[in-house]
Amino acid sequence: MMDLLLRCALLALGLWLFARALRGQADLYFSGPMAYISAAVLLVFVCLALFAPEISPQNPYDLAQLNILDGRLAPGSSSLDDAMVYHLGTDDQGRDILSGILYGLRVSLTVSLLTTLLAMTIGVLVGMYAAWKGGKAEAFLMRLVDLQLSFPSILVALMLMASFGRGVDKVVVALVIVQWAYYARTVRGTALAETSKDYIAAARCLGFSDARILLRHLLPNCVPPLLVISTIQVANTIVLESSLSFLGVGVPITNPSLGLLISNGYGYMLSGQYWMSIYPGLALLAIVAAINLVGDRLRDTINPRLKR
Amino acid sequence: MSVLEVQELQTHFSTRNGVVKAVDGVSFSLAEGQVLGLVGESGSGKSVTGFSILRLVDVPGRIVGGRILFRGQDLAAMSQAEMRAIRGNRIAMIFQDPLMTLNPVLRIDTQMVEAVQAHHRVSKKAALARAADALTRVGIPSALERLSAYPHQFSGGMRQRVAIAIALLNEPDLIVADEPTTALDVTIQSQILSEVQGLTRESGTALIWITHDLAVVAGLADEIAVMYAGRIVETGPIDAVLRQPRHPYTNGLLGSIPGNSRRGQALQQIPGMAPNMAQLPAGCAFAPRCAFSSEQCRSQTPDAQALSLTRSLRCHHPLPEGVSP
Repeated sequence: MMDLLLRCALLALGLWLFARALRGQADLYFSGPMAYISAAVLLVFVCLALFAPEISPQNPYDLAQLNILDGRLAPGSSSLDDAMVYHLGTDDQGRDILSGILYGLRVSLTVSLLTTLLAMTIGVLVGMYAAWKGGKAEAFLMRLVDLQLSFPSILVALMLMASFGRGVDKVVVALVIVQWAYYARTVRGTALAETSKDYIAAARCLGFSDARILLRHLLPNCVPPLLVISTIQVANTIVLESSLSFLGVGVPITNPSLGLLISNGYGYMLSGQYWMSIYPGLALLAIVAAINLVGDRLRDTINPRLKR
Repeated sequence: MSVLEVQELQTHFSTRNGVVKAVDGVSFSLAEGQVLGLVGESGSGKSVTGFSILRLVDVPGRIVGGRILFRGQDLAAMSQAEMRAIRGNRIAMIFQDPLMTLNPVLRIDTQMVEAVQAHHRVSKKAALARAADALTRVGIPSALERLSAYPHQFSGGMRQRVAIAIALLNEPDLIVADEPTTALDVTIQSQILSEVQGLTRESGTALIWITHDLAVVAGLADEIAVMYAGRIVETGPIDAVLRQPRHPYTNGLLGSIPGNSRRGQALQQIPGMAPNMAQLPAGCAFAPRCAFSSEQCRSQTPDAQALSLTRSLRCHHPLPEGVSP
């Protein structure tokens, strides 16, 4: 019961943040059919993920509920005991693909949101500090960022996961290490441009402390580009985590994400049992596209420089 | 008692091309309620002088010499924390471009309340009342409603009024205004000038008005200081200096203003360009452009000489008295 309340609160928090980001500019945001569709798709997916235990016909993690005799059933077939219909088919363990997708969405979204939040926090702190401080500190931090960005992220993540072992927490840590540098570089660039503007000089003229100028005056002005890359990065992270899971170094097999579901069904693709991979793949495609579209619209709405 | 006394201020920038002496031995003083017009071409060091007073010169610039006595305390020797307590509180600044000086993402009330609360322990309500009062004083109608607007909802002139209101918030002893009307159109400029004049008279705030527009200072300032290449070349009461300039540079500046009396004649202009500050000529920096320059000018830097109690000059060959521009 507590758990359900918590999830409702989480949903409310998300909606509130979204409404606050729009702040009375909802008509500007919802200016085309794509805006409605993408927002609706995202909302549906988030709700599906949040309330998966209530919605899904089966608990795909509870091995006692699975019947190996129901394995690899085509979409629409009934279970052996006629207790339920597998609308999207089953995998080789007899696991309902629909339930697998719902639970997989949870894993994928949790990992990507956590990663983005952590990576953004670290990146913003590093980037703003570098831009403000300048000199040797900036040179050192930015070379670190360059070094980080000079390796393909999937390669670094693969190496990290190979040494960490599987686990949701480990995936998050590995992805944060891979992604903080994007934020640091972007924020440093914006912060440098903003610092040279008069309103920062004016803030200094008013006798504000450095911390106050950084957090209250500089940071909010760095948000628009951050918002854009963070939404794109949420989508990217979902893909990256799925790739890791697909390659067998991501989340544990008992806690499948969308990527792991695709990977599990991949072996049966050529034998015509497409549903094990295709449906999780479609879900992945839809949510990534929805997040990107919502992010794009948000950027267009919020950025005061694009207005008028 | 003077509010501000700047003595032999030197602010230098160390660049790849050598040391740029942006401000080189500037001295002036300012009494309560007095308005000083600091005039000069671009790059003459007038803005750097203003920023030096607030100790906000960015690297590679540094105040390398002189004293800035503000009510008897030397600002140049103060710690950062002491300086912060003075900025925006005892000394305020107004910038050139009103479109850039207000934070675009914060509402006006947020910015004004913050400016009050940074220096005074007052409630938000009291700070808001003060902000509304300041907005009214600079001539913004229905101040209470305008408080909750964002900067982009104001026009350029209105934004500069808001910037001036923020400068006035803590009732400073001194305001440094760095070309605050340059970016505004002429009608707004004259409105703001007359309002600023009234406000300083009313509150006894001393004002340094940095500009390149002699017409602006003529109607506003009590004193004028003309800067050239980091030095004050002529200073004195505004009427005396403008009516009878003694430095050839001041004379040249006045001669280059279009006026009704010389309709049809070609405008006089000062020949040449402002010097490269990294490679100043020996002797008087103005000598290469000066019609009166001599061998002495090219070898020997003129010292400031007092013409009277209030006027002083840096020139080997001052224009004779009785010559009007």
